[in-house]
Amino acid sequence: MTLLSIRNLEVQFKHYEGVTKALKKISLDIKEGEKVALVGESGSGKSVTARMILGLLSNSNIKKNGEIFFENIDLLKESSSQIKQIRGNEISMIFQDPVSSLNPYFTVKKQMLQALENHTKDYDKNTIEKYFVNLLKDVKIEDPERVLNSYAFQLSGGMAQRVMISMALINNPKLILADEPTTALDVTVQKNVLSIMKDVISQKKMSMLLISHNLGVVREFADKIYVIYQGRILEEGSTEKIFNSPGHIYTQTLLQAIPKINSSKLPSLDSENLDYLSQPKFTH
Amino acid sequence: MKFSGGKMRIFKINLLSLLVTSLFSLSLMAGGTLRLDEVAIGEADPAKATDFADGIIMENVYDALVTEPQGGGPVVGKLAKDWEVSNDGTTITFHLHEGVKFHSGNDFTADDVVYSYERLMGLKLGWSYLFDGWVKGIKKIDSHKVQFDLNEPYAPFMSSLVRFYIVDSATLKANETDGDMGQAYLSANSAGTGAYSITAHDPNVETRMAKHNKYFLGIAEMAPNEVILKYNLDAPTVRTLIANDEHDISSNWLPTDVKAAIADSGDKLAKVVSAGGWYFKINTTRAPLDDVNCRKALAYALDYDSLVGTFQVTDDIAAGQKARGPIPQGMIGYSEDVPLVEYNLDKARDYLSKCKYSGGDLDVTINWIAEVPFEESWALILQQGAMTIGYNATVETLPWAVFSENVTKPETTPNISIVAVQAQTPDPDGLIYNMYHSAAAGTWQSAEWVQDDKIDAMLNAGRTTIDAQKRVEIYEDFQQAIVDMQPDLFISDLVTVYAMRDEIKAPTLENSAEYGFSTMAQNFSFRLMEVPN
Amino acid sequence: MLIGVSILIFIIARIIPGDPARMALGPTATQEMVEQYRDKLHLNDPIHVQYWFFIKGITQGDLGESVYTKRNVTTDVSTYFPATLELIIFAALIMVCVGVPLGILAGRYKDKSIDNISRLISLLGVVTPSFVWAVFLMIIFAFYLDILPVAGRLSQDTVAPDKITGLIIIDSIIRGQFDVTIDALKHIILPALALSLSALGQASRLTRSNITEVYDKQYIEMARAYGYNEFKIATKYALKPAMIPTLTILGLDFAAMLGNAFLVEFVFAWPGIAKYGVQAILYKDLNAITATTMIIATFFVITNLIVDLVVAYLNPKIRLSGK
Repeated sequence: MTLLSIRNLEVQFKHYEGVTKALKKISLDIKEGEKVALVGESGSGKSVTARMILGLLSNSNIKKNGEIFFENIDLLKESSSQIKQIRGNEISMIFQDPVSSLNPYFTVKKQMLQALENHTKDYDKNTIEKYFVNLLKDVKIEDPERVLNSYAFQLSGGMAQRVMISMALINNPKLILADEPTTALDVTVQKNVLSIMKDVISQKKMSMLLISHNLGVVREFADKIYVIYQGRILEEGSTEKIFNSPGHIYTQTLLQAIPKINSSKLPSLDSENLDYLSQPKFTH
Repeated sequence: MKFSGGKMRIFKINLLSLLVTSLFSLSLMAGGTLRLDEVAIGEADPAKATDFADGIIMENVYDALVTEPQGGGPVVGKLAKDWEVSNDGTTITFHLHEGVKFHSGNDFTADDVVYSYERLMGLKLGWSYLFDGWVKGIKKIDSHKVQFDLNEPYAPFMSSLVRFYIVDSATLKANETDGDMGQAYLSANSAGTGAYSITAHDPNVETRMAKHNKYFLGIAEMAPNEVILKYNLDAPTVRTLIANDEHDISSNWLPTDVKAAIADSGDKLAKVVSAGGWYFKINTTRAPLDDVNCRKALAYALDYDSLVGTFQVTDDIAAGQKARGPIPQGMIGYSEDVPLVEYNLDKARDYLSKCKYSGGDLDVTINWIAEVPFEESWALILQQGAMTIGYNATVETLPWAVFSENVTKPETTPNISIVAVQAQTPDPDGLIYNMYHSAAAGTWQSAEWVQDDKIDAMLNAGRTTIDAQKRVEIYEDFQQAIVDMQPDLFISDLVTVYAMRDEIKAPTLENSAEYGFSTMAQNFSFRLMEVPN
Repeated sequence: MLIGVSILIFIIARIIPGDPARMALGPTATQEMVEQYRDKLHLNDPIHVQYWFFIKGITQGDLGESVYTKRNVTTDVSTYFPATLELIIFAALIMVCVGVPLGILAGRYKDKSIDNISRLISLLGVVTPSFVWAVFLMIIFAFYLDILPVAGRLSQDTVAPDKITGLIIIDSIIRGQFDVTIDALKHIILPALALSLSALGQASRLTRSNITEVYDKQYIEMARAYGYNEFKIATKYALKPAMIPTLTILGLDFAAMLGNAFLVEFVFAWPGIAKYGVQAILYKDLNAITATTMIIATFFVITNLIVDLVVAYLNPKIRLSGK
């Protein structure tokens, strides 16, 4: 069953110089328990997509069209208080830079507690710490008690991202959005964090939208891949098909650019010279 | 607030008078609170007082043996009933009033006079210099008789006594700490016989005084019950306070335009001619102004009409009157025979041609005091005249502290400086000795550096001559001698103008001419004022 | 450090031209009187001997005699300092209670009309010296409207409560004399407002820029993504990080008010230490100059210390690195 369904989403940013079209009628589906990846260069609109789902880009300078159905409610038409009920509760998000995503002036425990309290006041105060400890254990944190009482600056990047993952799990969401979750991390821990994330999400049978510029990362993780370029989906299909028989030139270019080791560097694409948009969308 | 208060009180009075007219009529006649301000801080100790604000306190809280009479002339008795002077003029015996009470309730006696004198000379501050070196001793003859012995005849002695205030010896002895002769006590309290006693005193903020009901000279029916003398109020503050009926009398130092604005909005001004003057003091030791002709040239190049114009506060009131010489109108030695110097550029050029300096040597600096901004316009008027006849005149400003330091040496004393001097006693000696005697050189009062034997001799003679008529002649001659010498350009007699709330009656200020001119602050006799309740 | 300041001030005060004894004794004092007074003030001794007398006095709680008020400086200072303290505390309250929320609103609604209004207010506050505000406020509220008093700490008929702290508002509350409290509040509003307006402008600008900076941080976006409501973010989640750097500057602003107060004290006839200090300089009142400067310096040091401690307590990074 489809959990999230984006239909013809169009987003424009108004600014002094005029209007920038960030997303041009994109459509995307995520089924229950499915792990979907959205892959593209920076500036391609992939992060905008994630933020649109959570309604994080709502101000008067943004013009939006289309629908984002989450369990049959159109998130674009919901009131902001309704959206707030969904944020961090049914859909949660993991950001790129874990250390700066945690507030430096509050302990992990306080922030986890707050993430919980934003959606329920009805919990057992005596067992809640145990619950947090277990969540941290799920992401393979060895001394969860210490981490709970730590501040962000006391944690390594990998540790902080694992904290973020467990925070995303607090309210048992149906969907987790992960925006380049490993890009800011050390190469050596990227893989580790990624596999922890994959395990825990599979185990809890949650759906996931992984946003990445790196097809290599995505390969081991996603069931399905969308390739986005300049606000347009150029190719969609199962991971297997995308890797084995990429239909679009752009996808092929991306595949060629995968470095031997997973790198945090962006693949160098000569996108200026190639007119990828002239070729129509390829759906497997 | 402004009007409702008044209405409320009227209503209250009507109600009360209906109920118990006779019983309350007395207390209803008492005056209200008088509020005034002064620039300098107030000194409450009569042995330390020197300034005008101090003078206001002294005039009301303490009494001296003698005082200046209404309308001018020789001093008359106050705490002293009368006195005898020995033939050689060196022994003066005072008969004191009986039944005079101090604020404490103690009786005033000869012991208090002796103690007050010993205290003044022991602390050696304030006006002690008026007696220092002249008085050999003081002794009590009986409980209300006291005798001063002088080293030699000293004509200004009786006038000097105006500044010798009598303190309550019993109270001060009882409140002495560490042998301080009651200094600590008097810094916040009073121990006098005056019409008002101090109830609170903060030298930087205000002095509060209350009526002394047993005052031996009596107090006007509507005289203020309480007086608050405030210090260092800002001009806009005074303007606002008077407009809101929260202040009664301003200081003289309120800017002219603020005084005019107050007069314009329905309140009034009072003009008091004071014993002193405004002077352009010329350093007579520095070229080119060490030549009398160069100085005379300046005297005729000064546009006196423009100068006097700057004194105009309103059409009717000017804060100045043209001076003939160093001795102001009304003081012994003032003479109409001394001709007024007029603005005359031909004469000025004539004098300048007789001067031994010319051309590039005619550099002069005119200094005005930074704290007294209106002096600048006077400096500019003089500069204008001086430049017209060929001087190269520059105008500079100096803060008071620097100026008073510079005048201690002739070589650092400015060519020309603008200063006001007020007599400390009603005697001309109290004004001019400090300005012109060679022994008094080196202060801002003597920035002329007159070192002249003839002048010294005249000043000495004025001090030691007892015969009153002879003294008048000496000082008239002196006046002419100084004008001939021209160590100063005489700007104006010292005239003070106070802004007053319309409801206040202060005849001593408003009709000051009848009360004689003011050396210090006797025009501020609160007991003669009327303040509506 | 304070010893260094005291030596420096001690020397500078003596370099200012003018003879304190002559200034004190008035125009007519004889040279003999001046010399005698100079001896009493130890002014004829070498400067290190003078300093020794000064330090000796301080250890006995005696700051020497003021030639201006002719009282002991200790008495003067204990009379005038509480008045200024009360004034600047009140001004600081206005600065924090108005300036900080204004800055938060401006930072939160950056480039919206509320931001523009608040920036205009801040700018006016910063560019207009406090004595101009003082006269301006006086003209409006006292002269034309006549609703607030212009001079002093209390009305002429109001008796100050017996001294506990020297802060009339606090003392009158402690003693239950609430009519005095109200009178004192009426008197403090205009001078405190005049004094606070320029600091308020700075506080609001500073808060705005710090809030803006914090709102650009990832953890604010993350807070939104986790369903925090905006009020909670503004009052807690963004406020704490934004206020910690602001606090340091606010502390300095507060201490600086002590020095800036003098013109406001002049206009409103506020019997404070700043006005006293300026008079002391004009009168070349050495002991008073030294004492006033030392108090301002000490006040700066103590305020800074307190701010540093508070910041260290609030900022876990500093707090934990100390352990």
